[in-house]
Amino acid sequence: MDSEAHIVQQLKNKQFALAVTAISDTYHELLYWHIRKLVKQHEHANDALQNTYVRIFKGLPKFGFKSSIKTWCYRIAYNESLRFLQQQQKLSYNDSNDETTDYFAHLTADPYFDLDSVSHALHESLAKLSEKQQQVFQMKYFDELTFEEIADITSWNVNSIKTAFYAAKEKITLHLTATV
Amino acid sequence: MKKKTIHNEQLGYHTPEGYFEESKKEMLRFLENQKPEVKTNTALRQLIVGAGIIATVVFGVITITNKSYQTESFEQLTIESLEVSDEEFDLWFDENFVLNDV
Repeated sequence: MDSEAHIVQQLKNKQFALAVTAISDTYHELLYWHIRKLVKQHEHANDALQNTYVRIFKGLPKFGFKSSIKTWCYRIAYNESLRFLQQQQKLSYNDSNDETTDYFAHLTADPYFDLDSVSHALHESLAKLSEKQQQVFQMKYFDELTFEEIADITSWNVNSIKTAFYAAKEKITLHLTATV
Repeated sequence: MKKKTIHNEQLGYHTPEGYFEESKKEMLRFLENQKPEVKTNTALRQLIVGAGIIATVVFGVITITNKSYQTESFEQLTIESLEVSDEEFDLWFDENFVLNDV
C-alpha cells in the first residue's frame, strides 16, 4: 500500500493523529521547500510550515476525498504562505520600486541563504518574472508538480498555468543564455 | 535528500543542521495539544440550516402579521374615537346653537 492510500485508510478510520504523522513522514520536507520558495526566508518558512500543520490537522476530519492528500496539503501550504506574505506586506513599508532589488533584499536578509554558492543569474531571471510565472515555474521545475496539480493547488486555469510556465521558461532560458 | 540538494545547489537555500528531523518532531509535539475540528454530519447540518430558515420565516410572518394587526386596530380605534352618533350630534347642536338662539 503506498503512503497516499495508507493515509486515506487512516482518515477513513478516523485515526487523525496517525494520519498527520504519516503526512509528516511523507510530505514534511516537500512542504517545507514549497513554502520556502514562496516566502524565501527560512524563519518565515518555518512559521508558515507550523501554521500549515495546524490547518492540516484541524482540517483532516473535513477532508472530502475529492483530491489527493498531496495536493490538499500543498494547497494548504500555498494558502498559508500567501497569507504570511500578505501579513508581511502590511507590516513593512517599502519605498523601492525595483522588484529585482526587493527580491534580493528578501533573500540576502536570510542567514540561511548563500548567494555565492548558486547561480546569481538564475535568481536574477526569476526576479524578472511576474509573481504568477515565478510560482508556476518553481512548482513545475523544483516541486515537479503536474499542471493539473498546480491548478488544484492555486485554483488557476490549467491553460493559463501552461502559458505562464512556457513564458517563464523562455524568459529564463534567454536570460541565462545572455548572461552565462 | 534529492530535493535538499536541488534547493541548496540551484537556489542557495540552506537549513540549519538536522532541521527536518527536529522540526518534524517539534511540529508533531505541538499538534498533541491541538484537537481536529469535528466534522458535523452533512445531513444533520442541512437539517439544522433548514430548520433555522423555516423558524426565521415563521417568526418574520408572525411579526409582520402582528404588526399589521396592531396598526389596523389602532387605526380603527382612532376612527371610532372620532365617530359621533347622529343623536349625540343633534343634542350638542341643539344645546349650543338652537337653544341659544331661542
